[in-house]
Amino acid sequence: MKHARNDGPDIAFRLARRVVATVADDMSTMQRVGAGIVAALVAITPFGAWSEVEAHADPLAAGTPVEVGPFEVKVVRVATVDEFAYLVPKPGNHLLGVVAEVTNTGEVPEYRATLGQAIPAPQNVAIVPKAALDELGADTAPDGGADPSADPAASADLGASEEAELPPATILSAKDGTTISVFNPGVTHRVALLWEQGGKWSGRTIPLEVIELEWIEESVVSLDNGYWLPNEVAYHGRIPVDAERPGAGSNQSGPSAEAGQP
Amino acid sequence: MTTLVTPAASGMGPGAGPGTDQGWPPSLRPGMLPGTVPPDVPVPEGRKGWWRRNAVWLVLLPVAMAVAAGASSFRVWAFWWPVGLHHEVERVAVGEQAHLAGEYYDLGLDVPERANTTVLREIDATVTSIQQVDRLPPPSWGDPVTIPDGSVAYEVGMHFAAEPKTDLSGCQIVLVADDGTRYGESTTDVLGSSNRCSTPDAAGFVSARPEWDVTSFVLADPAAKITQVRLGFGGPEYVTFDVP
Amino acid sequence: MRHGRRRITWKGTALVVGGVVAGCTLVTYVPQDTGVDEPFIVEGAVGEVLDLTYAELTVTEVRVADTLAGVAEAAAAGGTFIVVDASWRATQGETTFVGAEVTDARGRRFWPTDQAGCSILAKAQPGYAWRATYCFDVPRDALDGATVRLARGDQGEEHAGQRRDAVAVVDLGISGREADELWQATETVSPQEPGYALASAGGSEG
Repeated sequence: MKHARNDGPDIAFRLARRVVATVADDMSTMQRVGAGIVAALVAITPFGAWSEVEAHADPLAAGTPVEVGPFEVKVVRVATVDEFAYLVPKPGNHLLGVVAEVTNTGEVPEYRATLGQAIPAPQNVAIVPKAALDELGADTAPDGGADPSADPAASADLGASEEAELPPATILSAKDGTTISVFNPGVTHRVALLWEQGGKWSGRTIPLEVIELEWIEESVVSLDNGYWLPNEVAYHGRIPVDAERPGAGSNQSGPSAEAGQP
Repeated sequence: MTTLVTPAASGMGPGAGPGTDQGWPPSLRPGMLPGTVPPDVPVPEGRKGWWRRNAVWLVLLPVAMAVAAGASSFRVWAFWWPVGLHHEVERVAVGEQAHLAGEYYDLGLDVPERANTTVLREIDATVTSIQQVDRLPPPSWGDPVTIPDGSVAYEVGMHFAAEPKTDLSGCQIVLVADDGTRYGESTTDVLGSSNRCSTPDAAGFVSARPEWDVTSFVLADPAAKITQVRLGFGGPEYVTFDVP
Repeated sequence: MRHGRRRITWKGTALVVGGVVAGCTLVTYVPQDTGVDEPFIVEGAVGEVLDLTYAELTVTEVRVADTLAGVAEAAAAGGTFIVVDASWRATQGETTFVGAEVTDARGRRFWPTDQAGCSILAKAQPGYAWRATYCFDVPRDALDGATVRLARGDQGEEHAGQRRDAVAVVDLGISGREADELWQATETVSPQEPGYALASAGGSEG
């Protein structure tokens, strides 16, 4: 013990080894193997070894509200539309819109982007990927500015585009097409989440996922504190698609959104 | 057992123990065997004072504090100093010429060959007139502007001389009142011109002629007593013209 | 004291542990000087001129609207819009007034929207009064007893931008019964674009 005391920092290690050695000396080989397995199982516990590997997603259906982070989201319907408010897709493409009633159930306002993180673009329904949006910007630049090889690759080859990252939804008021930048507590907004979709797609349903949002009070890895972190898929469902306008739902002001547009 | 040595003589307490009667030197501490090197006997040479023993650290302390303050004040020169008028390079009276020189980082928007270089902007400026006016002239763009109720308007006339293609963007012509209020700090003037040091017909943000005149209009409080005109291009350098 | 290696003694251990415990106790139980972080709140009512040292502020009018009819677009409220007309007169230099927030009686916070040409911030210089219209989409139960909080500092991050700075808190003057009437009314308001305010900041065109 005198020796251990003088060597300070590894006193705990030496002590532990001593204890382990003392205990193990009296054990049979089988016992040692068993004890080793138990110790290993205990050791991996803090790293989430027993959490469910497959996050089980609850079903998502139109008309049923779900809680996600600070929001209560009720998907009303899904529709395709040629254009909506200021959004005009490329010729041949159309917009896919998810109309939802969204209520901030918290005490403080939440940004639109938080809602966008909770409802990502549906997979495998020919949503035009992010790269194509950059290319849209390049189109407005003078000729020769855009990379000519990028153009056909991104828009034509839908198979490859599925691997590209899909853009977040553009979130507009379904009533009037205006941009809602902040969701205030207690207010229910009827919003349209819109993505540009390849014109060839003509499915009857889309797979829609709602991502769980976890409140990070103090982040372990970054200096950011107090934000909603998108986590695992919490709800999943196939929502039927109406081939109508996303704004024209049960309310009278649907057409007014179109009225302002040429 | 008897105690032969009195505690007072040996410097030991009453608990000196059994060893004391065996004739060990009285300087030994209790529990010490003969021949043991005693632990550091308290330095007898008048016990150096705390201040003496830590003299080196005491000298280094102010240095360390200065270094720490400097290291944590980077925001001053990184963020505060470059933005805003902080360095008065010349101070003259209205009617006299002042020379404003200061460096800025050119993005090459008007003069591509200067792109992404640090450029020294030098300009000679004179405030030729400053007076209150009753109405504002029609702006070169947009609707006419009337002086809002509760405000007065000043017309400041300035004469500039600089090499052609001197960058004039970010020009601020500021009227400073005797209470320190700064009127017209914005780079956009009351008529909507966002290039206050250029003539209204200027095409870009760089000067076209070696010498030119501009007038700029500034709204102020009716009770304000204007004592200075300041000219700057975002800072930190500026020149001051004292108003008589 | 021996030269060379030092021994871990009970006394030394007690000193270190005691010091840490004492420090933690101080931090935990001694009240922090909250005055260091608190903003200087200037309370007032609609129509009153409030002195925030860096500006004079007047909330000239408070309205409630179902629909905002702007120049470029019209916006329907999710709940109802509280439309706050304010007039800023900067007193030091060019100032951007970033803070605008409605707080209800329960302490819930509401931020302004930029729909239909409403302002979410204002920028003004000394020498004139500048008018801005803020629009807050709020639920019915937020109307009663709501206040508006206007300042040059940002209200994000728990009002971090407003620490040790003047902040105006103006009671919107909506009482219980009025709240019900205001909720049921179907008003359309056209938010004015920001511009020079009328002569007396206290007056109101409505």
